[in-house]
Formats: sequence, structure tokens, C-alpha cells
Amino acid sequence: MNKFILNILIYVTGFIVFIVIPVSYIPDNKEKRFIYYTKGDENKSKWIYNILTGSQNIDIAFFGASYILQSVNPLIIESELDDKVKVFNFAMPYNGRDLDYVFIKETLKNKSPKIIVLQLRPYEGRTAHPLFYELAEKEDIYTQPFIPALAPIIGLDLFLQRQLKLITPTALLPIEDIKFTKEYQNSKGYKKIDFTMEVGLLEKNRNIIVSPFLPSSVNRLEYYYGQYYLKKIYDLSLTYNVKIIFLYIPNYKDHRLPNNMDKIMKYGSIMFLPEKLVDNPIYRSDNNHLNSLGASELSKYVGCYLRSILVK
Amino acid sequence: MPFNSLGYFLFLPVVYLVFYFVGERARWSILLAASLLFYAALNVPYLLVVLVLVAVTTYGFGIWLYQADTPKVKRALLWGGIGANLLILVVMKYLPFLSENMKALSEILSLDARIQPVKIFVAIGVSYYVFQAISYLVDIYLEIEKPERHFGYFALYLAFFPKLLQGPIERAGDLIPQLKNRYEFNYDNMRFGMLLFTWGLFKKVVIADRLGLYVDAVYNDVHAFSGLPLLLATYAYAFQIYMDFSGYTDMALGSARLFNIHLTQNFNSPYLATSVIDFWRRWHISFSRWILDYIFKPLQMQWRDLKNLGTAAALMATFLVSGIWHGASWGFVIWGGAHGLFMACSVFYKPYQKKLHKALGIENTGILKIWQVFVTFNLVSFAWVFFRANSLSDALFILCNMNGTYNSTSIFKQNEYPNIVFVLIAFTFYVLYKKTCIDCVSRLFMFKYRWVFYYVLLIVIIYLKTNSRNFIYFKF
Repeated sequence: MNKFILNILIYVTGFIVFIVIPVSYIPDNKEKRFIYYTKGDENKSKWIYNILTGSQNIDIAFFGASYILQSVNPLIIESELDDKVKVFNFAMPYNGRDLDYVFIKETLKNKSPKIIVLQLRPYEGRTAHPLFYELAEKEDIYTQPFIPALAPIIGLDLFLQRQLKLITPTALLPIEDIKFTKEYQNSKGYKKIDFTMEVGLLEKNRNIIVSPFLPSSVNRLEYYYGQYYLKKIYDLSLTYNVKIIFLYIPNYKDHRLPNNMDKIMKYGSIMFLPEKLVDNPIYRSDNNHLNSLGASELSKYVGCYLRSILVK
Repeated sequence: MPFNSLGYFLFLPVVYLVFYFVGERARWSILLAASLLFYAALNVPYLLVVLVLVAVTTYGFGIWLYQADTPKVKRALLWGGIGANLLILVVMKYLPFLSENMKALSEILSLDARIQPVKIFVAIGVSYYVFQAISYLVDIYLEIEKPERHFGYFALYLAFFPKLLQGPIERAGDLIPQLKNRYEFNYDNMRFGMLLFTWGLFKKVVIADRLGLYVDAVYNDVHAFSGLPLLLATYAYAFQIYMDFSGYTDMALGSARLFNIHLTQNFNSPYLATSVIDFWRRWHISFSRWILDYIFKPLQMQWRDLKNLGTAAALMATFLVSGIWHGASWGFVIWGGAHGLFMACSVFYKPYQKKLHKALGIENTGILKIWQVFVTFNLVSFAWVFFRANSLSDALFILCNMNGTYNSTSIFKQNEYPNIVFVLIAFTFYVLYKKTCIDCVSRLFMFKYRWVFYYVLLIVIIYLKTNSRNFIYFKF
């Protein structure tokens, strides 16, 4: 047994000394990070990179997961605002404040938006976005909170994989996802879903999907990961003098207020949707997401809301 | 908790440490508790209930069977036990398939039967579990084995976590004595188990999952393709399922080896088989032995008067059952039927084939072997189309358009070719090396600089692994 434990220790030490440390020193290459890592079904990092390094201005940018991706059509918002205001939807599927932070940081470094709109759900996600390790800067990965995501352990292989890819010639870089499908999003990053779910199914799913909030002790832990990145986003917004607005998108007929609302309101105001948008089944592609009709209504509503803010 | 998940990477060492530090008498209970926890973590409703139900039923029938005095009572108890197990299997897994087909049939016959579609209860692992239970009862009936009196060991035999979800299907006579053996730390078993596990992980997350990217892209949108991409995706799937399934088996064998338990080796270079019968001697070995012993042989005995026709019919029936066992859909039935048909035909043409080889002077030559391997591989790959396609119409479309005009702008998009090239290199290396995985690993220990190999294997896994995917055989 002692020999076995000794061998394991030697092996792990060797792994850290000869692999982890040298690999972590591989120099960064942002272009490769954003363009050639196409892991994930609907990874928009390449598109986002092109927008951020292009000549277009950004006045308002939306960040979040599929709820924003399928709900916010920047073209409609632009038509509600002054034509000169440029709006983009940078949301990507799967919750992750960490990835929001990565994209916001890049956006603020490259462009000068006036407003950033963040998705808000009834409760925060408590794990890392799978693409965080691919797209974040090294320093952001090193400073990722350990609890409750156990992030450095969970993400170690992803981090090493991304670092090794940085030194792989692009022609040999194997892609993770093969898209034989057509472009799914419009030129502003909105994903259109025409499907409308049956009312009966929506009602049936309501009981399954809507779960009670977690006990307060667990809730604090759950909130910690998201809060850590919200704070960092807030700090960035102060540095770059940008306004933060939260867009609250609850599930079908879910009238609960967002969890930890008091803390969230320290960082920015919350835009609540009218009941007719939340409760009307014709706007739903499923219990969580809006369809194109719902997105159109929501975008008009958001456009009006933003207009009033811009006027102020 | 799949084997390729972080949860399992944490679960296995913790279970091992608890197992190691508790007293000898409590070790079975640790493994049983770990197995139940493993299944509970899958979060599949009814799964634990099914496991308990099958365990209690089979345990009871096993003891009654052994105590029965007359052959008549014994036979009744055997069929009672098998019937109870099959009933559980049908209710849990096949009701949706049956209800769908009954409904379709009633519509065709214009019957006014109001058949409601039924939702599937449990699909994961139940088939393996029930097959082991049936083999246990039959072995007691045939007086090959005595019933296990200790319910804990019996439940552990059925539920031992490394092997349940995808096998190997173990016989009670092989596994229970190992579970009862006194545990002593064995350095060789530990490192062998860990390396075998890592090797299986490599096959799964690097080779199988990379092939899966291409296969899924084509098979999930078959009408967008014609000709070469369909053919390539079909070959790719043949390799994918092999690497996926044998990877899982290696991980299962590796996990079990930590506890000094030797599970059955399930694969032996199946794509080097020279006939479909030979393929089934090398593919999913524990399962093919099971269907041979408990379905084919009894049927062949029953129909022995019909000679070759009886053997062919027994083969057809056996492989139709094999198809249904794999899943409740017509695709699996046709896949099983195709294998049955290949083998049934060979019963009749085999004597003539031998004469032809002799007349041509190619008997026992390398060229003949290569030709036979090529033909067998293609027959097996052809059958896999029904196994993988999303529907029967998709399968037929693939088969009809495989040799059609190539209609896409390129076979591979963007940087996809490194995936395929890498996988082909790895696979060729693996297939051409005829030894089984266990032989490979054993030989490695004789290599002085094996540490270099360990690190290289780890780096390759980290670098080339893809997004986590479920094992293909999980659903059976």
C-alpha cells in the first residue's frame, strides 16, 4: 500500500511540475481563443470577436443565456430607438455570470457602450459556464472562486486543453462541433424560434419546472458564484462608466421575484416584464423561453424602456 | 454517474478507501451501498425499485427452485421466476413499444380499441440486470450452481456497480465467489485497474466521441447527404460503437480490479472476425455467450430433428431476441434479424464455401482471410445502419443512397479532418494490434519507461477529449 501511495504522489507531482506548470505558461492568443474554439452547440464567440474587433459602434449590448438569446431582437429595439443607436445581443446558451463577465470585459475594452443589459432569472446559476475555461483570460481563470463550483479542479482539464490548443497550428486544430445547419441567428445575434408550445403542455410543465427556492444556507452558497462575477461586472461598469440594467425573464406564469433581489439592485435597476408577456401562452416556445412572437413583443417593450432611459 | 464524469472520478476512490478501511465482514455492505448510491445518482425514477424487485424475486425463486422435489415443480418454478423477471422487464422497458404497435395495428384493422400510448419507466441497465437474474435461475435449475443464501452477496452480485449499466453479464458462479474472497491489497491489481480504466477513458472520450461528432452530424440530417458521406459515417459509426462500448468495458473491468474482482473480458478485436459467427465470438462476449447458452442451445435442441433448418431457425430466433433486447424499436429488431439471417444463411452455404476455397487453392491463405475480414466488416457495418439511424425511413434512405452521387460541397467542414485522420490512425493501430486490451496493458508493465506512456496518454486525453457524451449502450 505504501509503495502504491508513494507512486501516486510521485505521479501527481510529476504531472503538476512537468505538465500543469509549463502548460500554464503558454502565451495567450485572444484571436485563437475566440475564433477557433467552437465547442458548444451555439457558440457565438467568433461572431462576437468579429463585432468587437470590427468598426461598428455598440451602444447597447445584451448578455446572458438562451432566455435573452431567444427573446431580444436588437433590430426591433433599434427601430424603437433612434436609428443611430446600435444594439447587439451577445447572449449564449447556458447560464454563467462568469462568461457574461468575459464578454463584457472584452466589449468594454474594445467598444464604448452606454448601457449593458444583463439577463436575470429567478435564481443565479452556481456553476461555471463550460466555455469559461476556453474564452477567459488566464488571470480570470486563476481568480475563479473555489466554492461552491470547485472550479479549479473541475476546470483543470479544460484549462490545460485550451492552453495546448493555443500552440496548435490553426490548420490542425480539431473542431468540437460540426455545424451542417444554417445560420441560426440574425445579424445582431438574436435567435428566432417560431415554435409555439401547446397550452396544456405549458401548464403541465409548470408544476415540474417551477421548483421552490433552496433553503437560505444553501441559497447563500448558490448565490456566491454568480454574485462574485456580478461584483466584477459592476466594478468594470464603474471603471468604464457604463449603466447596468437587469432584464428579468421568468418562466411561464412564474410571478416570483428574483432571488436575492436586494443584492442585485445594488448593481443596477431591474426591468420587469408586464404580466401579459409572462402569462400569455402564445408567446412561448416552451416554459422557459419565448418564441419569435413573444420576442417581438418583448423587444418592443424593452425598446420603449431603454428609450426612456436614454432620454433621461 | 457515467464512468467518464467527474462525479465517478471522485466516487471510485472514496468507495475504495472506505472499502479498504472497514473490516472484512462489512466489505460486501460497502460495495452494495456504493452500488445503490451509484444507481441513485443516475436519478432515474423507479430504477432502485426495479433493482430491489428483481433481486427479491430472483433470490426467492432461486431458493424454492433448489428445494423443489419433483422435476415438474422445478420446471414450474423456473418458468415462474423467468416469467416474473420478464414481466418486470416488459413493464419497465417495452410497454411503450407494445402500446404503439398495438395502436397502429388496431388502426390498420379498423378496430375500436382505445389504446393509450404508455411512457417508458426505466430503460437504463434493466436488460443487463434481468438477464443476469435469468441466468442465475437457469443455472440453479440445471444444477450448475447452488443458490446464494446470503441476500447481501446475492444483491451485490446483481448490482455490483462497475458492471451493471453495460455489463459484462456475469454468471453467479464466476462473480459471487470473488465477492466473498478475503480482500488483500494487491499492488499489481491496483495499477492494472487504474491503467485499464484510463485506457478505456481514452477510447471513449477521445476516439468514440470524436467519431460521434461526424456520425451525429450525418445521421441526424441524413437527407442532406448522399453517397460518400453516408458511407463514411456508417463506417465511422462501426468504429464509434466499438470504441464506446469496449471503452466502457475497460473502465468497468478496471474499476472492478481495484477490489480484486476480475470481470469477463467482453471484446476480442471483433472487426478482425472472418465471419459473422466469428464476430459474435469476439463482440460483447458475455452477452453472446448468454444468448448462446440460454436461447440458442435450448432452441437448437428442440428443433434438432430439422437438422440445418432447425439450426438456422434457432439462430434467427436467437438474434431476433437479441435485437429486441437491445431496444424497443423496429430498428433493433431488424438489426438482430439481419445478424440472424447472415448466420442462418452460412449454415447452408458453409460446406460449399469450403469446397470453393479448396478448388481455388486459397484455403488458409492470408488473402482469403483479408477478404473474409473485409466482407464481415461490411456486413456488420451494414447492419449497424439500422442500429444507429433515427428511424427506419432514415435507415432505408442511407442504404439506398450510400452509393449515390456525392452532393455536398465537401465531405468534411472546416477543420474536421484532423478529427477523422487522428481517429483513423489511433483505430488502425488498435485494430491491427490483435491482442486484447488486457494483454496490451500487461505487456506495458514490462516496459522500462512506462511512465512516459502514462503521461502521454493523459495529455492526449486532456488535449483531444470532446464534450462529454453518454455511452451508447447506456440505454440498454
